[in-house]
Amino acid sequence: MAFKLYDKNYKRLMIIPAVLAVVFLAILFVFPRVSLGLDFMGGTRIIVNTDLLNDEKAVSDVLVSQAGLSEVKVAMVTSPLGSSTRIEYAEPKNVADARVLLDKAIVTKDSAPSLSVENLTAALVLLGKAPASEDVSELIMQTAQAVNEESQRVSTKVRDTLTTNFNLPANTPFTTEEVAPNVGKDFLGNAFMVAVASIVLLTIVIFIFFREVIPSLAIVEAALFDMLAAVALSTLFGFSFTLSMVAALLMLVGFSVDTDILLTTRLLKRKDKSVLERANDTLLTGLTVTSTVMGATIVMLVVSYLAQINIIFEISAVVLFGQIGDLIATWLTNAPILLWYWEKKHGNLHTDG
Amino acid sequence: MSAKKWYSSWKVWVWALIMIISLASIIKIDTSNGFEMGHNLKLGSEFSGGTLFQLQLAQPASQQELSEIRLIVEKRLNPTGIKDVSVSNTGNTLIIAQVAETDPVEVSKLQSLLLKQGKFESFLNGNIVFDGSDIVQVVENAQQGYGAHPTGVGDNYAWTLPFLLNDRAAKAFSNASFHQCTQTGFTSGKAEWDCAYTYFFIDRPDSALIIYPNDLMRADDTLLDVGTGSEFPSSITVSNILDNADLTLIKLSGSELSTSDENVIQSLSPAYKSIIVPASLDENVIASISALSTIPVTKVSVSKTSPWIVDVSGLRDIIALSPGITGNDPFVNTKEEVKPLQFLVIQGTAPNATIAKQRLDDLRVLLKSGALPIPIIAINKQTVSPALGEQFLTNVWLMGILALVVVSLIVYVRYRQWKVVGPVLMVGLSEVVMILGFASLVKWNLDLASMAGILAAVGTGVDSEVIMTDEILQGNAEEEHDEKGWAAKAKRAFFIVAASASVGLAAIIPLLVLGSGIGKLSGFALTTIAGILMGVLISRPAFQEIIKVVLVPKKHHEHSNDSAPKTQ
Repeated sequence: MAFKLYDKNYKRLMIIPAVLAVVFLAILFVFPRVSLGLDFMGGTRIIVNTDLLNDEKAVSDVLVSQAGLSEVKVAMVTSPLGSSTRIEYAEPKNVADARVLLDKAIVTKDSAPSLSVENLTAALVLLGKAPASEDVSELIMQTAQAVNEESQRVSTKVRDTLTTNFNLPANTPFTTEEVAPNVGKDFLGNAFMVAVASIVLLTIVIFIFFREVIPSLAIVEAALFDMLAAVALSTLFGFSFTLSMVAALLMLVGFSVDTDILLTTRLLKRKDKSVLERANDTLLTGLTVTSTVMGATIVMLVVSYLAQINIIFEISAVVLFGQIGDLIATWLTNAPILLWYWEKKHGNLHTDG
Repeated sequence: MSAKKWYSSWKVWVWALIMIISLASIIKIDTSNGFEMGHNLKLGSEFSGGTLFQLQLAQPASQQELSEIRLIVEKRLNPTGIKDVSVSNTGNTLIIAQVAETDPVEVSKLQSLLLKQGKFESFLNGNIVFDGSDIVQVVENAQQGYGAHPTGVGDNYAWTLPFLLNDRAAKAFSNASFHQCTQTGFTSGKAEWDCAYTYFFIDRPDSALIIYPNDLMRADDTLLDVGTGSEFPSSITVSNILDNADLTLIKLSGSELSTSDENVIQSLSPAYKSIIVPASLDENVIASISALSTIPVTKVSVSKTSPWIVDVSGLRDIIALSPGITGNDPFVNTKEEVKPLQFLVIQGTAPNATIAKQRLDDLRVLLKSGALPIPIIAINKQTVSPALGEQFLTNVWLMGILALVVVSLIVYVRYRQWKVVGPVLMVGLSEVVMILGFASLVKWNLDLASMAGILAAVGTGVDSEVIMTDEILQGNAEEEHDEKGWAAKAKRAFFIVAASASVGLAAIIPLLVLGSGIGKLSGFALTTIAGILMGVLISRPAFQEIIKVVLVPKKHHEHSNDSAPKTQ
């Protein structure tokens, strides 16, 4: 069993990833555009394990009309592992605005206390409260408490609304996750810093191992393409960007660079057969490696979807998309670049050694 | 490197040793019950059910502030010390607290407690003597007496907590405590005293009426008598607490309100803020109370381990006065002659250093009204029902097993040899065991993200094993007949494995080092890093030895076992 993907016109292969890269970028920044998920934007996710919430529209309508929510997403999953409904909503506008004002007030607490007091007073007014003190620190406490109380009141209301309207039994299992928007913003900044540090560090490590500029850059390029493909495809499939995705992208690096490293080592360090034959041989090994990861990932994806284990579902979707990207990046970009590099250095691709 | 028998390689031995250590750390052998898997593994609240709070601080905290905040958060969530609460921090702005509670009403109460500073009050003989605002400073300086020291008797430790009252409170305290000790006798030349107690409360209900069923009161007295794990003196009774908590009481002897009880409720002054009843009280009685009065009814749940009155009143500590303060010893004749002390100390002895430190911590936080050095500005929370948690765990297992089956099939389809599939599976599983062993040794809390990390690490492991297998099977004919050729192939294969592991680590390490603000992913980062490191250092080198023996034709072993010089 051997593939003959690479021949004299191997360079043509690079057109496909080049076009795809443009498409992926368009998906991210033009349409439908990447959207930030719960972890970064803040909001609440409730997963209710019941088959009583089977009408998505009715659930969302009731929550808007009776619990005073504005943005509600409802999705129902029925599977042999049980039925569940996932509800995601953002905080009502007054609470969200009050949080923004609270944040601002904390920043200017020492530099401009009067501005802080002004913002805190405005935040309290939004929540229907009067300031109980003139002191900035005490006002911050009061506002933080008021925001918290209001957001708790909303989540209790949501639960009560669901329970009464859909006759949920008292022991219905709920999983709730609440993220405060200001914490989410910090997460985003932190995640961005981590991503940049990761890319820098992995570039350094690749250079240490290979010590040749073009092959090293080709590996880095493949890793970046994988991440791009993963984020773009998950955006296309309606996922929003979350913390689990950050984990998945970093995990993806571990899964995807090994095929690139395998390829580079085989092409540049081995001296048997012709380089073209070696490239074709490596394709087979690489496909085995990628298919084991893909197989395991698909299992995780299916089980976590059926069982509604959100974090693993998101991670496995991203890893799967990234693996698809990796097939393209490794075999249609990295391999042609290496063959080209080899050709420039050694001449004929068909000779041994 | 030569192709000796697999067991002659130290790499296999190291792997086996680490496996034994890992298994020993996760499996408990109990002579009566046999084996118990995972007994040392700590599972996150996602699996056991419970609530996880992430508390965002207004600004970064120092190490010392962090430990103080952790302590206070724990006190706020678990004032009586009976609940299962764990508090940690990731980075310097995020505090993580896990509680077993999932009832939304209770969770929401806890959330309010987290944000709220408590109100401290100290009572003596039924009157308040000072409150949180009267305490100028809690002294935490060893030079001024703060700390614990061995007493020289057994392991005993004596501890001292000094604090400073304002002038007004010092006078009030000195007045109220005057001659509150009585001498009870002499032991080996020293006077023995019996002194009045001061009662310390946090958030004592102000202007409240409590409805206290008789049987509950008796049960509480028994609990107080046998001791509740709290540090209350065993002579304390429910009525002592009631006398000092300044609460209006209705004793309920039967299951219904008497006419006089109804009259009391009906004629309550509007200044009353709440009527407190046990949550277990008959619904009809609660309904009739609500019908008699507009004052809101608060239900407080009854716990088996802590007296209900303690939960209701917010009683946190009971401290005896000492004859030195009360003017009994040395004897002072009149109140007016006592010099009010602003600088007071609370002292005690504890059976060991740990308990002494705990008493000091408890009281220090208490006297500061549980005030946080840095305010909490936002709370994230995640609640998982216990039933769901168990399901999660089952499903993660299911996922792992199915993934292994699929991987085995793919490896088999590729190589058509079960003898390749065996080692791949075995080594893959061994990596799971090693990561779990590591997690149980460092007492890591395994959450869903950590499980994902385990899957990731094992996934990269299987990748590496396929690459190593392929390198051995591939290669030119000359290499196959030459021992040096095997070594070259092994070296090249391991270069690939080491390089991918290093790049994988390089990608994840920033998450552990810089991503401490993202508490949710720290479990993922740790298990992935541990898995990749142990894989590349321990299990993958062993795999290479094993797969070589499996794949190299028999004659090569015989050949290489021959110590004679090579002739090829």
